[in-house]
Amino acid sequence: MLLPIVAPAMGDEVVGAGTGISWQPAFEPISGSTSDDSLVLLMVTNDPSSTEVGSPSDDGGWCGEVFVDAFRDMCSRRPELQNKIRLQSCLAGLPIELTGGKPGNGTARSILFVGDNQYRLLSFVVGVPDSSELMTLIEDAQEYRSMREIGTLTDREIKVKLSRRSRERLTRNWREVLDENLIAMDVEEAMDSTTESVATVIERVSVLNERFRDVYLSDVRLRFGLNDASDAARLTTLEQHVQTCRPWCEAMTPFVAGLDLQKFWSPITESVWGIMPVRSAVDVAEVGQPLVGLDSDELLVLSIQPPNSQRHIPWPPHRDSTLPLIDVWHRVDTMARSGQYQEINLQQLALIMSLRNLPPIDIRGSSLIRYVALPPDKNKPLLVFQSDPPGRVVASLKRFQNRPPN
Amino acid sequence: MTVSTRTRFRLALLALTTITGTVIAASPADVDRGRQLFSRSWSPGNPTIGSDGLGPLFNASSCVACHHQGGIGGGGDSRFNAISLGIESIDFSDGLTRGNAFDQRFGATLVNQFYLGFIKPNGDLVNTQVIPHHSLSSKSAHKREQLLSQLKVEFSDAGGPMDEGDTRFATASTLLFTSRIGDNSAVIRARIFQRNTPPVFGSGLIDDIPEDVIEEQEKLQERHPEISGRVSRLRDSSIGRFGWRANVSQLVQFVDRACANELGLETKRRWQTADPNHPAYRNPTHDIDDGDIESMSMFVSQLRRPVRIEPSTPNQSAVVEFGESKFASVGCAVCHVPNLGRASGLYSDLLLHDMGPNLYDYDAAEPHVVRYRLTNEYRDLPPELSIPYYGSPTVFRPDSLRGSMKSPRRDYRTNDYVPIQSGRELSSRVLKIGPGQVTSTVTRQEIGMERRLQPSNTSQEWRTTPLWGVRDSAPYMHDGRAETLLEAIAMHDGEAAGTRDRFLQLSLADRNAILKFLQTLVAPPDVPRVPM
Repeated sequence: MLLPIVAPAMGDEVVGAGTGISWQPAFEPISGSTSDDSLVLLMVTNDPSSTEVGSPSDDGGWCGEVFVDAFRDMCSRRPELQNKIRLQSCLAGLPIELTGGKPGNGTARSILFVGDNQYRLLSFVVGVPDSSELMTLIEDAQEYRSMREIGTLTDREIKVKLSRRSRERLTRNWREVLDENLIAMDVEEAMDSTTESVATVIERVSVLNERFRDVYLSDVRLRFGLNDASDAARLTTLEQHVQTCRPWCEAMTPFVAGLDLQKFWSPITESVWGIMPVRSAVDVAEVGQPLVGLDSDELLVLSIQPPNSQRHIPWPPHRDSTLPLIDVWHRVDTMARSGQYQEINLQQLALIMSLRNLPPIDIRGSSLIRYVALPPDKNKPLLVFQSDPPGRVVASLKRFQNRPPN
Repeated sequence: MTVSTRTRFRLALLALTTITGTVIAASPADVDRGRQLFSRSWSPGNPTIGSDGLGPLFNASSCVACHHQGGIGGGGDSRFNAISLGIESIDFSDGLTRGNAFDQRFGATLVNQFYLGFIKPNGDLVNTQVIPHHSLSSKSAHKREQLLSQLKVEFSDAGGPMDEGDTRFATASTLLFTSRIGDNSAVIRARIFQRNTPPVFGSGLIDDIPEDVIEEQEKLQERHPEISGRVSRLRDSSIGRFGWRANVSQLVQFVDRACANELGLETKRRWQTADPNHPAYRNPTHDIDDGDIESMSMFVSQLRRPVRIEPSTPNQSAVVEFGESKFASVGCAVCHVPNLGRASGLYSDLLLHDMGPNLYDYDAAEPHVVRYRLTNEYRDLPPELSIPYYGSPTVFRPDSLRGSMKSPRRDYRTNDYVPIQSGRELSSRVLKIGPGQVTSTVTRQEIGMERRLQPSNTSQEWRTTPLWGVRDSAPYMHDGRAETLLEAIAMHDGEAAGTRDRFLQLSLADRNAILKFLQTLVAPPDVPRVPM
């Protein structure tokens, strides 16, 4: 079963052909006739994604216009790049089906990835680059691709070269933490998406992010005069400017360059946003496997995967957890697993909401969403957050389980 | 009599008449002489006049060593930041209070173990102390190195932090020191503060801005719901125009003080920075005479004002123009006033503004004077009348030296008294009341000013930085902690918090337009470059 892909079949259309600038949908197949030195610029934004068939094409989202201005300016200085670059857009905020029926992704965010014609990640920035920053980003991508193409350097040597490039652009505190992680990389060996499982690479991206995130937060506090959690919204706004997150990107790049963009754009984006991005109108075959065969005439309990950064925290909570009512949470979990049960991520949740034509829910709460229970009668789904009283959840599940089928 | 009233007291500084005021008709020879002096690399010892020349403590051996971005007279990057050490708090052990009397001598010994210089010759304990980059004494150099090595910060050979990251890290780090003699101890919590080198392009025009033009800005802001800048009223009743704290009123004074404080060149009015490790040492005579200071001032006053570059395409021009309109509409231009007097394109009101608690240091702004009256009633005179170069430290009086002592962020005083005449800086004065009405020469004990003060956050009040030439004067803020304009804008707090928030609430395109507008404000063209 397929959800139609919204994008028009763009084939070989390239940016700058004619007078306008064209956007392709994310991960459009690249034809064999495309030259080897073409680049893909994938703009991921947190505009609400859509599960609707025939939704408007993604045109760079909230920052499309600003980005196109920068892109045009860059092309006027480097006209030879114009025909080598494809712009792709991916609206990846929570769809309105998951935010109570209204757009609800907060302050606008974006990440720009540069990939080669096989969707290998070459470079990336958080925010919307101006023309100079875009030029640097593309030159960085080209440099990395050249290193790979020369063929005389090992992966490790390439990463060391990338690290040196990053070091030159970083302040001392960042250089120190980058060096520490290079040493750790020697011990742990480089990430390799061709030999390691997706889950392993995702976990390593998450660990890396955890190491750099603390430095990033203490750095931006001093750089932008941020004092406490109430300044988080200010930081998100500032992250629309590439310079804000640049040190974090520079530190991450040596470790993630070369990864398969199609598999890993999401965990990298999640590292920055703190929430899993959700793509528009995806192929069920691509993400919907866990949903196949689920019976809509029975209670279905969906366990929602937490963000990668919290996936190592056990759920239901261990006995030594500081959370209250641990035993009751275990009972909730046991009840959930006793019937139709599936562990899914937000992308899959959006898909099932759309497939079953369910009313919108709002998964944004003051704590993590842990379960979504879909009763058989298409009634309002039950959302279970980590801060909810588990006793009440037990009662609700019992009620659903005892309800006779339609 | 209010500060901004109909009747104005004009206190002319007779001792400075030969070198005060804006140089209007400087001869090319004088300017050339000034340029040579500005670029000259000074060295210790001056056998011609028998003085000690450069030092004994100094931040650089020439003016251009720090003032070079965008050409001679520009700002300097973080490597040239001047450094001072500020005491946040001292906790003295109980044993230091004998009965009700604090053993001041013993307390001073404990503080001196931390770093020399906080105890002044008259016994006062102050909360800041300059730490010049270079010293002719190996003992002082060693003490400095020892102090700075406690910070996990890399310092350049020039003396300041290597980059903006280190600048921020140095300022954010706390130094803890426990000083002990027998059973008595003092736990000192201190912090490094820095001052970035400002560009001096267009200084002649700033020098020329009439006081009433600056006062007018203060009046305009009285009705503003967020912004409440105030003139920096100095102890001689003049208005400060120069320095991060606006604590110098005239360019020639600024040059005079920079010679003494940055280069260790003693002038006829300013002692060079004394080396606390050699307290008995005195320079036999001054190192630089008034003629040379006058020439340097002439040279600086003749430095061209920064300019605005025209974008290369009509589209970019439109963006810049739009950015400037947004700059005004969110409120930046309330303080960054585009034109002040003849200084068109200055983008400053030259007023002091509270920039919030993150931006503070203990070399504070002058207190907020709301009224003053001349009086001939004798008062106890404060021992130090001239305003210290970087700002005014707090003197901790003996009464407060019991138990815990904390540096204030705020000046709580509601009145004070300043004599009109001070010791070395001003040898005599003439009092003018109204235009041209010279009364008489007065002497030290005969007349003073009783000032009514309004409590204010003097440690976080800063002069609005002129934005002309801003593209070429990074890093930004008083200590150069901001590497970019976006960082600098985001750091605005206090009075400017609302403006900052409105800026951040703009769309990305609008924010970028403002940044692009600011990038058109550049250093003057054709300024001779400094070979580094």
